[in-house]
Amino acid sequence: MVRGNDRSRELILRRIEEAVGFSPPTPLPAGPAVQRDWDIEARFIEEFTRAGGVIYRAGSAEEAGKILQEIAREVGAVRAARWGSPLLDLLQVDAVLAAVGVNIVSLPADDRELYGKELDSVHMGITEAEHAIAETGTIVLLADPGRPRAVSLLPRVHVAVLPREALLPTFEDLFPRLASRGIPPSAVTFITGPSRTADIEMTPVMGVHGPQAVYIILLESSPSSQAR
Amino acid sequence: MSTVRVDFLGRSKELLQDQALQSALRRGMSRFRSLRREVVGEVPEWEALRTRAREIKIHTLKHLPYYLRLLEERVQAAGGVVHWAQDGSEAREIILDIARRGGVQAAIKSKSMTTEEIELNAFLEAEGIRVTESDLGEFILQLSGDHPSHFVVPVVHKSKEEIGALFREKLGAPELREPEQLTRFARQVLRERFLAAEMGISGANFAVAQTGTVVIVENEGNARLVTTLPRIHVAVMGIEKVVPTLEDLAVMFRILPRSATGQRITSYISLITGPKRLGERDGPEEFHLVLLDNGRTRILADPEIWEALCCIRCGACLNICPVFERTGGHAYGWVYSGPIGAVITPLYRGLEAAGELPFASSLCGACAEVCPVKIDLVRLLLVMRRRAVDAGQGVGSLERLGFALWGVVSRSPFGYRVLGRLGRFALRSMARPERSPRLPFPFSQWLESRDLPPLPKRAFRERWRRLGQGK
Repeated sequence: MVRGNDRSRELILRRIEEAVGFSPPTPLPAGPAVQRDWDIEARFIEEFTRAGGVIYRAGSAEEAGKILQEIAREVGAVRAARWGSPLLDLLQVDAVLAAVGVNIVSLPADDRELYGKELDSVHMGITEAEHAIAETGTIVLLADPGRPRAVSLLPRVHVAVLPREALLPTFEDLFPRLASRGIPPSAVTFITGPSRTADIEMTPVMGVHGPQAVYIILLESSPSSQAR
Repeated sequence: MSTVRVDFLGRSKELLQDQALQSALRRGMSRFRSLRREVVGEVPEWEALRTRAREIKIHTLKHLPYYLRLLEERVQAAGGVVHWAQDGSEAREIILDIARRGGVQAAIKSKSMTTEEIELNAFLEAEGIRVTESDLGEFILQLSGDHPSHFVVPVVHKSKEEIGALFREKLGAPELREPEQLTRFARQVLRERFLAAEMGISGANFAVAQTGTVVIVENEGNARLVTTLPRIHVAVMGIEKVVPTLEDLAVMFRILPRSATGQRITSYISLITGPKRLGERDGPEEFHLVLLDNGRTRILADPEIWEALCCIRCGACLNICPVFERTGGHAYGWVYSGPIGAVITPLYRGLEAAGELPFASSLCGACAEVCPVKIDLVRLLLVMRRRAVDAGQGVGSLERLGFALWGVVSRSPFGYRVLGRLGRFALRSMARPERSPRLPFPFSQWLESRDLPPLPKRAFRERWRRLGQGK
């Protein structure tokens, strides 16, 4: 492993200390409160939709399955990749998709390039959002061994299942939960709508590097509480 | 780094003749302004948020040794490596060393002004490492050997026809006319490069000391790819980008996208803490954070201008600036343009190299009004002007003499009145219909880039006296 240059470290820190001194900070007092007179669910749906995402509500696991099949048909998916999550198991994602002719691929474990190529060729990536922020219509994905980052990134279409109780009003409500795990996950990804660019003549185009379309299946009454 | 003097006046004269650029800039900047106005207007606590964002930045800068040490400790605890670079050359060597040790042949980059600042790409290419810019705008610039002209939309100065021709010439693309087709084509080319790259290089919008987390704000998803697919991830950031806690990000997330692109939030924000953990399928095996000084500690030690380090590179001051809207970023001669560039380019590169940059402003103050961290850009511009003048820059001896005389005469009421009368008489005799009067040298110089509005019938002081208010 490469080590940092200690001499430069000392010099830079010394220069900073010469400039501002060294005093351990007393934390800043709390900042201004955000005005929050909106309904969490309505706000989430409004903001995520405005960012170009599509939301379906599902009242039951069965209904969620039907919606997933519909999305797969709509986007013409034949191959899909998914996260390993108890909630997705409970929704029987594999069987539900197999019924409409969509095959869930198993991702190559050791070869980085093969792994990327496989996911690049997949039509649809399915994940579970552990949190969502109503204020901005943002879903929050946490990386872990069963939940690789690229499943929500390389396929053309991303479908996230979002349990109703994962909705939080603002970012302030989320951060204590991330820090309470001691060290945050290696990657915490905030997603608000599809990948977009406006670099050419400021014309908006979706799907420049990430998915062209993002769907959320909002589970109104989540079966996940029983699953965990 | 080149030390050629920035020729703002010369460059801007050329750029003002470029009709395509002029209309692209007007259209682009006015669009950014109206989007920003809309999304800022719907936040009732906007002013409180600006104040808070500034508080956070000032607090962090005042306790920078503490927060940088904490950041370092937490990045290391998460399995990352922290490097300290005094200048661009050291940063480049550090990154090259990481690449060599990792056997890297191809690197892929997401947008980073800091790596532009240290001119990383040319260096790595010369060392035999292929570097690909993956932000669409930056990719186009790299293909054409051009430089960014804006913080957020680096390629705002190029038309889709130019980009289509570029793709045909450099990438063997078919005839593509629309931004959507061009974007799709670039996606395919860049996907291949992503899958082949062993090293990803990113910047950082923020770094959270409390958790050792690097934060990247973007819309395209290329920064996600850069931090997900390659085996090695190197993040390069200026030492001023650290914030104390995750909670501080909540404020930054509210002000940055609104100020930059007029979005309520960007499509993606990535919080990266160390390399991938045991058992994870993707994410880098090595995570390196390069902390760059490159003149920042010098600015920090300067009590008159250190607040310039609060800048979060949103570009709002560019979009609102009447000078930037006409010249674009290229006139400023270096990576940082617009009002903030006119202040910090002389700080990083020296007053002499920066030429007349501190004077490239009408001092209208719109930049300071939109700045989300409330940097007093007008004051900073004036400080830099004073320093330029003290260093014998920017003002000719004739102008100096003129202002000295004016200083003496205008201090006496009699002198002021006589000079005013003379001036009005002279101007009236030189007046031309519908145009500024043609003045003799040296006054003609003053009007080269300015219009002189027609004189009213009477001077203010005269009208005031006639109204019987004077005594």
